[in-house]
Amino acid sequence: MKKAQWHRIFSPVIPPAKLKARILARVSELERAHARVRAGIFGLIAAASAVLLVPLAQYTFAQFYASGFASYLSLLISDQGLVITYWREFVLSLVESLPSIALLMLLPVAAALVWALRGALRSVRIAYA
Amino acid sequence: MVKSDEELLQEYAQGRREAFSELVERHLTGVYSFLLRFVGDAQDAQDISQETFVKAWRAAATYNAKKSSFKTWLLRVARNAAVDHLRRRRNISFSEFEGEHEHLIAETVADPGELPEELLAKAEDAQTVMRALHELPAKYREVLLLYYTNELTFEELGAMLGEPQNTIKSRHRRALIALREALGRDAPKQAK
Repeated sequence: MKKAQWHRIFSPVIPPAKLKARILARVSELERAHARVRAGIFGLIAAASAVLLVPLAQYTFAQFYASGFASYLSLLISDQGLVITYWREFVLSLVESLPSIALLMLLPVAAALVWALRGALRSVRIAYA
Repeated sequence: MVKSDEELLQEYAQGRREAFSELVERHLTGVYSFLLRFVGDAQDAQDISQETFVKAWRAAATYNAKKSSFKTWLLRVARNAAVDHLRRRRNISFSEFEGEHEHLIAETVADPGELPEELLAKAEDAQTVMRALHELPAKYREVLLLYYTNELTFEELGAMLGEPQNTIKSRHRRALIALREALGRDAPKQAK
């Protein structure tokens, strides 16, 4: 009872009607400002990744042909009977001829490009909503 | 089903922006009530409420649900913003928040007891309570407000203010006694 008495005395006060809107407007303003900065950073990362991706992709394609991977792969179209008969050897040859170093360089850059584009798009949506 | 504060924060982090609006809706009354009575000015309370939610928004990623509830964390942000505000206005000194060995006194202070009828009637008037509250040191005010208005437990208060529970309990008792005295002192002033 004693505690209830004090609780009644200190009962919550209803805030002014416009306060919530004012707070949300300020947060939204800051969200947009942050989103503009993030969009810029993501944009730079995306541009850098795209620039790097072109020579890496060219190098990787060249390696696919140089390693014989493309020749093995063409057997899928030219001689399917051989591929079905010796499928284990075929798969092994494909794996062995993969240009792994080129792929190890290309895939992270491609992933960074996708990640940065996704981030940039999200940020732009918030910044200019 | 009502979502927890932590779920709303998670949804906000995942991009559902309305989740933050729901958090503001849920906690604004508690934060504003505390601030209004703590700083004693409606405009300042509104400004600090805004500052509190902006700070909470900025620091949302650092909030750790294992350490404290969102409500306690948010009230800590509000309390710190209010203390900074009062210090800027030189309404309180650093010494008002310095620790003391209150737990030693806890056993010796009188029981605050129930308010007599005439004091209770006066306490029903918000302005009178506000005046009486502002005669108390800030550290008494915050304990009373966080305990009664925001319904924090002594344990939560201790964790929030970084002090032992016994110190908080003792401070609470002393604050109630001081408030009773302040309400009593206010009586002749009002009669005049």
